[in-house]
Amino acid sequence: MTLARSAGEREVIVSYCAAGNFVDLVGQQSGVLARTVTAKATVASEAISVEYASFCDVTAADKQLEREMQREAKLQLAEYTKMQSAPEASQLLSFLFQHGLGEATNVLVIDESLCVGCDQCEIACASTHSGVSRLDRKAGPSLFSLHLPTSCRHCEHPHCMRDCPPNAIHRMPNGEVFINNDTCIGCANCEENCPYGVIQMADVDPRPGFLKRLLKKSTADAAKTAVKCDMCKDLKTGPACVAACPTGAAIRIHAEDVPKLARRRATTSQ
Amino acid sequence: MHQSFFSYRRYRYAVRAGALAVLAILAYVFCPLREPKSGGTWLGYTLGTIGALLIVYLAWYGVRRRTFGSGGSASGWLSAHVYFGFRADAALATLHCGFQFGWNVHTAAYVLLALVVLSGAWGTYAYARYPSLIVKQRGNISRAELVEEIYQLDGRALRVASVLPADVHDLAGRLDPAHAGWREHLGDAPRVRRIHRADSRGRQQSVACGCRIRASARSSKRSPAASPRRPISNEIAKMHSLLDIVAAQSQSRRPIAKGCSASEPDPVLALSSSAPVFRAAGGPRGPHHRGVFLLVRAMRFRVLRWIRSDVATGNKQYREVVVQTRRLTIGRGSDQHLQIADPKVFENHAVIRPGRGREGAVVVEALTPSGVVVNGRNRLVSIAESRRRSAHRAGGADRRAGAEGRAVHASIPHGRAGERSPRPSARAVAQRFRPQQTVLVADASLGRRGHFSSRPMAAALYQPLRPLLRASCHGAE
Repeated sequence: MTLARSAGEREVIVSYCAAGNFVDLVGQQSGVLARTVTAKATVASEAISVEYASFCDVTAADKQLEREMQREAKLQLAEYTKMQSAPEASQLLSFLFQHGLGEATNVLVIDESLCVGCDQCEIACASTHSGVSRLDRKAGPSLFSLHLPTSCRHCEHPHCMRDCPPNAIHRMPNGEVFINNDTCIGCANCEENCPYGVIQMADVDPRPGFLKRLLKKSTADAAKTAVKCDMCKDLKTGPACVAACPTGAAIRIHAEDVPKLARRRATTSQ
Repeated sequence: MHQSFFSYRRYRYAVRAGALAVLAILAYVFCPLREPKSGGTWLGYTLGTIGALLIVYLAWYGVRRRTFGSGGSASGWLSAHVYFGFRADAALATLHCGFQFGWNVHTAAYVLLALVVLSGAWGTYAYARYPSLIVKQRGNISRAELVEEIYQLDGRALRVASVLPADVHDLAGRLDPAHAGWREHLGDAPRVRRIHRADSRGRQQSVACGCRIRASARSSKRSPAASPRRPISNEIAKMHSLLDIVAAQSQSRRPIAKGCSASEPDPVLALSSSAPVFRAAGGPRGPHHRGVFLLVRAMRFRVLRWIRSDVATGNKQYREVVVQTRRLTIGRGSDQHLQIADPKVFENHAVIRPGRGREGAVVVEALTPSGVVVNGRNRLVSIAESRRRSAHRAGGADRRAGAEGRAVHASIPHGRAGERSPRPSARAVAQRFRPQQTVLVADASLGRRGHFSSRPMAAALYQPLRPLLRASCHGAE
């Protein structure tokens, strides 16, 4: 959820709240009339309406909760000030959310000022995934030298899972979304549903063995299945793209770290 | 968050490599050896063994780079590679040899190691410097957008250049016979010959690539404001305003070669001095154009250069035509790259494509029944061929001549300029109706004084210049 404050005609994003956090405690502490920020959900969310007076009664009854909220409100106020003092950070934040980082649990972000373009990330991805790279380094938008390559965001509510007839898309406890290629029927529904274009239909075995080639079994005729980043869940070293980056330009971050990244980037780019 | 390989895990390998180097130096300094501390002592062997093991470890980075899915972070490996290679290994090797240098195989090995370390230093510099430089220069434009913008700019430049009068191109051609136009814009001013004319205001003027520009005597010096590290978007904006100026000038249709007098102020000069963007950038000759031009140039597959030579003076004049496609088609049809509004020309007349190796470019006759007509003649001949023919006064079939050409050149022998070909017979038409028949290549030994005369084929490609060409052809007859 993003919190934005209107400054003249434009909107300045002052904070981002991931799931399981308090939203705009600054406004809550100062009373109903002092609310100045507008909350916008970056993912499908449910809203529950609670009367302000009864909410205050609940917090007043629980002293520990009240203290915790006050502490959190202080932190949030500091964050608002920081974000407003760096308009570039707000610009970057809205750019990142626009490209799906708000709902990401794990997204690849490349720092272009460190990237030498060696394509080791793609090579590593291809060599650990049957020769098919699941990321496209050059594609994707960039701002303030932050580049978002075409690679799975592992969304909180995956769009790809919505309409999978054989139920071949699953989630790991840590949020990784992966496709089981043994059960995938290649209907390409997920490819169409993904708003970020990170799923491709490919042969999972594009390098046939000697015997297959001898028997002239063409892999071109085989049905293609959906492939996408699976966060290298079977590798102990973690994502191969990040481990293979020699300059430290490629990292994977959670949506919660996005504001911090944006603030840092805005201060270094000034 | 992002962390460069320099600062990997709070400079872990910088500290370790530094510690190893310091330890080696301390061991060398305080070692109680009576004999000279050469590589043959126990100290020398110890340091040498550690150094050799370190070399194996450093070389293992190459193996790690090609191993995926195991073996830790490549960033950490690179960090170790850089710090251990530059600090520890350089120190260990130097201490191992005990500063005993001479003309022997040991010193040769040391020099080779030093070269490897230095090449690593250069690599480290490139890794650290260039990505951030590229980002700075590109601004917030993505690579695809940038390429698209440059293509647009390039197309616009060609459109503007195509309507400029011939004397502008001629004048541009006389500036530097080797690299007309380009060098002028690339900012290599001291080495480029320019036409200097002191006008009434005491300024020097130069004309390049069809652009008339004002340049003070100091303009060739690099101005600090025009740094090549500026975002390229700024450069593109400046190029567009330069083209605005040139386009405005082409509208005025003023013959550029005649110069300007004090009583009649030059419109371009007035325009350029009123354009603040040029003043701010130090004029359009500044080095800030270098990046754009180099980029534009790199994306083109070839610049076809058309040349004509003056019989009397021997002056060569150049005209460059930039081809952005692999094949440049010429004809009357609307789908041709270069269209000639002449009913005698076939719909799909000829194709120009890049030659192989050092062969400049090749004109291939398309499916035209009457043959490719150049300057009123219905065949393309090489210069060498034309010379031979002019010597023997005998006609010959079109053929390939020499592969060392640099330019496409349409040439005719002395005194026959503008001669019109007779209408081809039915048999001749049938003979010529073969695709990819005629091949033209050029000659590297162009332009000996007064040896030949020709008309620019490029001029025929531009509709506005057509009457001019006809007039000159008739004049020659």
